[in-house]
Amino acid sequence: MKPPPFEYVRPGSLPEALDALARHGATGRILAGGQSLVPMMNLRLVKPAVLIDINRVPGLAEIRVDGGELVIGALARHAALLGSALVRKHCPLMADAYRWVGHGPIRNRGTLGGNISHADPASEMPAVLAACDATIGVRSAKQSRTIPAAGFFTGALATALAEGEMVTEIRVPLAQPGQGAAWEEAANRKGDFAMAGVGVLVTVAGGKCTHAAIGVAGMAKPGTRLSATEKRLVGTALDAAAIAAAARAAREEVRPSTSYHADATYKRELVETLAARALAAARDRAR
Amino acid sequence: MALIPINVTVNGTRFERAVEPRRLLADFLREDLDLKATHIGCEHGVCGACTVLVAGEAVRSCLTFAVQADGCEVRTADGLAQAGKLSPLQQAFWEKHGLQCGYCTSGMMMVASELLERNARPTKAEIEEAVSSNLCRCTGYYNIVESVQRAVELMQEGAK
Amino acid sequence: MTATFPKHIPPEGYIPPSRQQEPPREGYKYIGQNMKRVEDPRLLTGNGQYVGDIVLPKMAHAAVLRSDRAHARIKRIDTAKAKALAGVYLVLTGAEAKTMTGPTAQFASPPVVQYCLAVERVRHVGEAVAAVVAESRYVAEDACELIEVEYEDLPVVVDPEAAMTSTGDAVLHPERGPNNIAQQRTFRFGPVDEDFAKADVVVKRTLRWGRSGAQPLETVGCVAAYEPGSGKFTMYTNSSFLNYVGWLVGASLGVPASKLNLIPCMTGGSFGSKLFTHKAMTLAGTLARAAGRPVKYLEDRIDSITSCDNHGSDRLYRCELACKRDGTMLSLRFQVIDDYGAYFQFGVGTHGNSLCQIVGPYRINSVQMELVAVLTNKCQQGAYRGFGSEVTNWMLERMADAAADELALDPVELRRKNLIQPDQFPYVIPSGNIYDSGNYPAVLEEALRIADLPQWKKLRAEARAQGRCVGIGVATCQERSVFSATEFWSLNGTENPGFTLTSSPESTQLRIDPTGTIHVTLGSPCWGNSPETMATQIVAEQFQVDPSQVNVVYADTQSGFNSTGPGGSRFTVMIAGAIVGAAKRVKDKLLRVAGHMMETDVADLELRDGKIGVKGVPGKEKPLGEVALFAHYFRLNLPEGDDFRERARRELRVRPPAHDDAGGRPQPSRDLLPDHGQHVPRGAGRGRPEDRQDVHPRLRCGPRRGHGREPDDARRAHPRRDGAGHRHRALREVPLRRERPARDRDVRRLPDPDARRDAAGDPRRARRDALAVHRVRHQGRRRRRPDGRARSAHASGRGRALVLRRALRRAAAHAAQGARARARGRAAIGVR
Repeated sequence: MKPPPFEYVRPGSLPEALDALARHGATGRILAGGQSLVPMMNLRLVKPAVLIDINRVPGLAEIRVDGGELVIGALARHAALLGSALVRKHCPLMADAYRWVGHGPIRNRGTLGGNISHADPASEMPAVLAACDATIGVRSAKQSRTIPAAGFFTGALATALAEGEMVTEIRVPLAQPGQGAAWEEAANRKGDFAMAGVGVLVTVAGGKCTHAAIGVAGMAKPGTRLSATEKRLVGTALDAAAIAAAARAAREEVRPSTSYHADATYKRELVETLAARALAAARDRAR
Repeated sequence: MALIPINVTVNGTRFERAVEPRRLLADFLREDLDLKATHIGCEHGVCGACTVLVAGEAVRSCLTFAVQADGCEVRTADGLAQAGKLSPLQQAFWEKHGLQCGYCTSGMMMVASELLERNARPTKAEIEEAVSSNLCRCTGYYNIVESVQRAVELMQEGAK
Repeated sequence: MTATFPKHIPPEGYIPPSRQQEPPREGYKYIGQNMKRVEDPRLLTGNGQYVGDIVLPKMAHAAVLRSDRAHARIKRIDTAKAKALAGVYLVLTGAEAKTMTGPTAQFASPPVVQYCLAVERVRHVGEAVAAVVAESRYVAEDACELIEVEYEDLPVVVDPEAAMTSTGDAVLHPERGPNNIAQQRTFRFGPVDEDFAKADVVVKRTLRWGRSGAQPLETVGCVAAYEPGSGKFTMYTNSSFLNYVGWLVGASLGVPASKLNLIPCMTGGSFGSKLFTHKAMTLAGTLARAAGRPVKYLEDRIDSITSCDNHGSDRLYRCELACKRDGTMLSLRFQVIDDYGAYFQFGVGTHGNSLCQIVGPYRINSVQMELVAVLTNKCQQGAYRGFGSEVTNWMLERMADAAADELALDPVELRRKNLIQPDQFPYVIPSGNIYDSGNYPAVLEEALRIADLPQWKKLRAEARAQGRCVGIGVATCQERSVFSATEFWSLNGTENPGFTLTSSPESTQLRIDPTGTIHVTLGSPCWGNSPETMATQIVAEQFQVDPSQVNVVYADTQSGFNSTGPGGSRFTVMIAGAIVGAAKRVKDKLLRVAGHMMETDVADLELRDGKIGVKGVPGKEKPLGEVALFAHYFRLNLPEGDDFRERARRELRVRPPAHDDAGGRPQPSRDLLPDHGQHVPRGAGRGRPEDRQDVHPRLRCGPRRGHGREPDDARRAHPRRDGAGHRHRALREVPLRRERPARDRDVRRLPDPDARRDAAGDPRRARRDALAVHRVRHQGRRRRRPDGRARSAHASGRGRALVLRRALRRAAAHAAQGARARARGRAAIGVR
């Protein structure tokens, strides 16, 4: 299980990295944390001709607040995000979900930008970003643009990134008062990819739910929102009956894929359970 | 494929070598530098037997290219014992029977090293969380956790 | 590989006499004490010398191209591009390899022919198709990708039941017969029909046990070198059975055993996976000879998962348990279809193992087993912890629970009712095996006491009131240790018995050098446990020396006696006897020399604190080293005669004491929320073990493996078609630290009901000290009741006429005679 040969480029700045990406086109791949890319290379499932190692590009790993948004550099490591007070304060859903992501050595290397570019449907972060209405900052040598998280993920292991583009930052609207967040997940072992994961953001005002966002992981497409279920919740008191009904709705709304550890039916059952738990927890935290 | 010159400090010794870009850090350490304590178990990041410290952080050396360690300080289990004397961590694994076949042990000790450097008095839960990144097929993990707990004691005794 | 039956067959029912040589002894100084392991310092510092660490001059690296088809004809292989790649030394296809190397070793009869590289046809995903030798593993894998293989797909057989009726191209080995049934026989033990006629209830269940594998962290590997001048092979291997199969690997390579030296390496975990490793040895040897340079072939994880020899049983049971209304078990009748995969290296040996304990700890009067071994397009079965008997235990426990369900009885009560009672030993089970001693009720009561069942029941009631699903499971299992060589072929029947070996020896050599260091050479390698520590403890005890004065090394096949190796928990049991025997010889000689030096009667001498001294006279003593030095270099100062003759050698026979690993494996219950929460397995709590901490890892390993199976079985979500889907995933099934029982497994030592059998210096005691033991012997022997009357299986009144087929009668006779694996000790101190 040795990787195939490749050419190695180590840009010292973002423009250099983007130039390299433009030069090598479809045969070039960005090497960020490498925690998904390198296993796939060792298994010879992917064979990039050129690896563009952005790990020494300065300024790409920042975590900061900019206006009404939490801005996370593409190279911010999972470990840094897990331990970040800014993330805990401004994006509690991400902080909650990070409890489930990988293990120490994987989190030391893995990056948020790499994670979402890989777009594994079983990964937590696409669902978190979708639920948070985050935007993805993307750049190529020629242009930069932002893509809403919901539109960024186009399918399993597929994103809206065009050839020559890379993720540079992730922007998440700051959590607001009255908002509660919770992530619930079932995985074969803690730290493994989710069989099913449900992230919930609810805003409660005057005892009523004014906004609900549900992102699910482990389904056919990464970063999936359950908009029909969300609509059902708005206006309810998020009482037990409303949550149970929403959980049942979530079970119907998801489009699960059968994976190694869980078939589609089981995933639906998991979603119902996890959604109910996450909704109850988010509601309680919103108070 | 052209070789790339790198210099890496491993366990305090500086090495200058030229490597193929694809050369995994694990193979670089084991074959090019003949440091055999780092073991290879799965080569896709799942088992943790190859865990080493790069710039103080525990990483899977099977998911890291040697070129990426260029200019970095790398530590492996080969360097734990100093001047023929076992480190407190090694001593604790010995005392508490934290190993049997020994294949996972280097990785476990490197994960524990990182933990203890960040947190001199970890709780049992923190130790469990840390070692849960690595697989062991012999011990059932209990003795490994006890070994790290014992290492904390030994290090505190040593510090007095 | 055939052999004829030995001429001497003991009479049926013959139970060999005890070979106990020493009475039990108390007050050990080293044995049974918690000791830091001898193995650890080198492992902790990265100096384990695993096979992957071996580097030879000019050594090249091999990689294997593996089939991505489950079943196909190989129509064409083009290796030209691979050969042309820079850094490639050799590319070999199956057809080419077959001209150099014969079929790989195997024990099935009639054999299912297998080569180290597939010839003409691939039969499972992952089967080796071609091999590359190159300057690095990287280049070798590059070259594998350049090999073009044209396949013609054949029908794929994955369902074991469907395999029974396969025809035409779906038959994997047409030369062997017109179907995929490797073996089908019915075995009846005892009056099955009569017992079923007496039953009030017949409990029926269909049970499915899926495959699992050992997944050691270190894969199988071999570094092979070939010397063209002498025609000799040297191989570094992580095989645990190198002294057992070395000559078979030689046969595959077409050289006598004298031209093949296997050097053992430290093993990074076996759990069955390292028993033979013959495919790696055969392949590496073939490649080294053909490439003209040493070759390292080390399986990577894909090699290991897709084409290993450690897949466990894969069984479908249809069971009927005949019971009385009060829960008394009468008879067990079942069909078992076992999916052996594409090849059949051990035959149905796993069922031989099962039959040795087919009724578990229960008094079941008769058993009927229809065994159907089928071949399918999966990796073949090999050896994995339990070697098939763990599945039988599971089946029995499922049936016990099913019976309790149907009869509305308490599962504990039902088990209690059926346990073999302490006064019923030795107990002959229907299949002819003899359990020599045990106290199963005491084990169960102790487990219940430690587990605090009432407390659990209270918790269960509370949890259920909250809508949570909490279950409590109880299992009483019987596991023996030490296998009999006969069980690997005894089910084959007389028409094709195969290799009818009747013993499986173990060996050791012991010598003292002129400095007084005691060197122990073990005939079997380290398989990832603690053989050096074990040997050191025994030798230190025997000679009353500090453990640092003992040096333990491992023999290669050229220098070691024939041994079998660790498997079936036999190693400590066997080798301990050999070491004790060898130590006695050397000790006797030392004392004679010391007696001469000190002009004292040998009977007045004793070993104490590294010295030989006169009993009762403190200070009158000589250090061991001085006596050894004298023996080695002052031969002319010693009298003539046999007592002082050079290099005493004796053959020692040590009967195979059989004893059990632990008091049953806890079947973890699951705290499973009705709404699909995390599974929290809680092993039945069992207090804290005693002194020997080095046994803790071993004891915890088994339950942990059980937990690894558990989610898998619970979800049944695996479309395990042809193995292709999960080749990368198997390690994802392995429990991590977080997937642990909330309470640990604990082990209590119960009083050994058969303490008389202890031999002084026998580390069985050491092991038993930490283990709750109920013991079983594979073959029995005559013994005495407390009142002194002779008691045999038949005299006990429970010995029932063993209804054995002809072949089994012979096998049983062989078992009685030959299962005593022989341990040879060579005792030598040079006396010149």
